Amino acid sequence: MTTDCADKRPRSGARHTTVLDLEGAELKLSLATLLGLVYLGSFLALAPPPPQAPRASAATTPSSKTASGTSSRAPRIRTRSS
Amino acid sequence: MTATFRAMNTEVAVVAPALDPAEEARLSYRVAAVFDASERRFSRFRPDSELSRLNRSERPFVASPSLFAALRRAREWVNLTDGLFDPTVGAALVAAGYDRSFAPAVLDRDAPVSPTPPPACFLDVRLDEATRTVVRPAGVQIDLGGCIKGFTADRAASLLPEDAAVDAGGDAVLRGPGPLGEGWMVDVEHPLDAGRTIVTLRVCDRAVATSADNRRRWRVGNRHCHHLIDPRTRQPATTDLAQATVIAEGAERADVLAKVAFLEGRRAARARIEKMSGVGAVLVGRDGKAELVGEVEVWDA
Repeated sequence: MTTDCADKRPRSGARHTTVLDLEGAELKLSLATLLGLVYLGSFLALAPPPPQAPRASAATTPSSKTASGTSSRAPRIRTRSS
Repeated sequence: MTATFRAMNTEVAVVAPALDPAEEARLSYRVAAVFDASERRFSRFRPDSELSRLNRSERPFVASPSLFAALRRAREWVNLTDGLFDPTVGAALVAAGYDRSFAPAVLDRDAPVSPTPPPACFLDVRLDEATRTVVRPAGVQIDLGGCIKGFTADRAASLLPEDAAVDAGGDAVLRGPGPLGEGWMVDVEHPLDAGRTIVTLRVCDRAVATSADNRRRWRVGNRHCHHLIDPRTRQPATTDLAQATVIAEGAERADVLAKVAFLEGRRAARARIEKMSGVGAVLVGRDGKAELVGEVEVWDA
């Protein structure tokens, strides 16, 4: 059931009652939704987030030529302050 | 290929060339879980970590076996380094402006956060072995950032097969003789030009760690601060070194010794490293000149 803002404006007694019922229904819906969101929120807040999923990358350098001139595809490690 | 993930505010890479991609991915998940657990327990930036609860506690605090073991090890490092490694620099780090997880420009501010705290010493923190109870002197804030990344890398490395590596933003454990059997190639970044490599090392079955003041820097007023606090002054260290890289049998050891080398400067660091068995270092001065000390092998030497 849909209604627009103009329909909700009370113009007579009967109309007023209908509108109040509608708003009551909407309020119940909103409460149920809010309770659901609060429950979901508390669950999410308590549940530990999973560790970040590792991803494959070419972060280490697969060099084609090493410092000594040896060709290789060996990964290199880079050390630095972090 | 390498599997990577973010933890401890840095990029962590797992390199296992002998494994197929599916095996490497499974291994990486297990390694990520180790880092995640460590961060949850030991981070001073997470209010819910056990370390944060200890730092807030006003009463004797019963620590978990993991935290108590880390504190016990920290005390050993304090003794081994004559107090130059000291986890009670937590309050000094906050006073210097390092009061949240680092990101570029996030810590910049116009005025100091708080006055430099009074001297403290980790040996004044009471550790009761029988009950795992920890008692902090008033005002002392414990920060395990000086060793915990290395500690965690060592724990993660215990999951690795032979010839594999875990690299936590420059603190790396390199197992076995490397994928070619000639050692792992480790590029040491130039501290004055991050795009350059100052030297490439050959490392077999050891760990490396690097400390420098070129990345975690921020501005307080007109002054530049960094994260390496000298426990003698409670201030960001002033030293003739731009960077210290240490090679040792474990990442925690390398991590601690790299920080201590940076703090004490070239001459004292050279003397300390040369006396130690199984330890080497690359010390880079403010002039950009590198010096090899102790047991260290250059790749093309």
